Amino acid sequence: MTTTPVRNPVTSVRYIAGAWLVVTALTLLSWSFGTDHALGALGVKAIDTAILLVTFGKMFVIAHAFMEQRHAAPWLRLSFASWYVLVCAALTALYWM
Amino acid sequence: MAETTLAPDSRNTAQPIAERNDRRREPQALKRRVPGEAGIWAFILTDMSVFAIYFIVFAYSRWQQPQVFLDGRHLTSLPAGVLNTFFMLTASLFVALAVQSIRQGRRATSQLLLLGAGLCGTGFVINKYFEWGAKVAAGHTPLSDNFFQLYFILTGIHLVHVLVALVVLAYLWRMARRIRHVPTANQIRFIENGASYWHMVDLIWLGLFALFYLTS
Repeated sequence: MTTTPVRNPVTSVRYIAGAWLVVTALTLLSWSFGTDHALGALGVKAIDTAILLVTFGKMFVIAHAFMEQRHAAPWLRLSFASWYVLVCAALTALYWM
Repeated sequence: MAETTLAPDSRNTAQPIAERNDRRREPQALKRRVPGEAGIWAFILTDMSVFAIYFIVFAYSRWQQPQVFLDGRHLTSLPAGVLNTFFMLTASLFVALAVQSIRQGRRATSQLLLLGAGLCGTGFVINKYFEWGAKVAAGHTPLSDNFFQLYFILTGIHLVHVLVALVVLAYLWRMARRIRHVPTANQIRFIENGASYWHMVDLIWLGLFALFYLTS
């Protein structure tokens, strides 16, 4: 009888550093959304929605790249995806009320 | 003793069938992998669900008192929030790299990375201390209004998570020191558990940062 050795995925430094650059850039982007001078051009609710979407995008990157969800079991990925969708939808709805 | 079956019609008869099948199955096995243990994910998902309720309570309270929350947001320190986000993200970067280093048996590098993560986490706590101190000195306490009540309670609960995560990082650092050449399956599992917890604390902070510092 043969046994399959347990293999751990090795992710490249470039991939992980790239994910960090993306979330840092998105943080700076949402910072520019959050300043008052940006509120004049677009509606406040639209800006808030954009900030929430960018935030949940950052959470996805953290889970995907750092928490290794891209290699994870479907139930785990589905649980996180459900969390993003439900929480983001609930917050956006409350911000538009 | 491993039993091998040779392919009858294969050009490379030295290659066992089982090994070739394993190689074919490998990408699928990686896809279905659960980092750490299932238990840590149950804990993480439960914690995230609790924070989801906190986020919704915040948004509901904001809907009830929009002016109080708008005024409160203007009184938060956006640069302090951005700095803390930088600390959390950079600590997560170091933790993710440390996990890779440990898997490759690079003990010294992993210890250095975990130390860097710990310093970033400590920077977060110190920055939070000064940020809270400035708010209290300016007369904004949990008793001031609904915004500051939620601000101190939610960021306080998160701060407790950061402190616990720092203790976990210290334990991982000690564990990394004990690794000889190749980590055992148990050591890898424990390190993945601790790293996943740290990343969850980071993920929750991103939500708090958006609600308290960015949205109007």
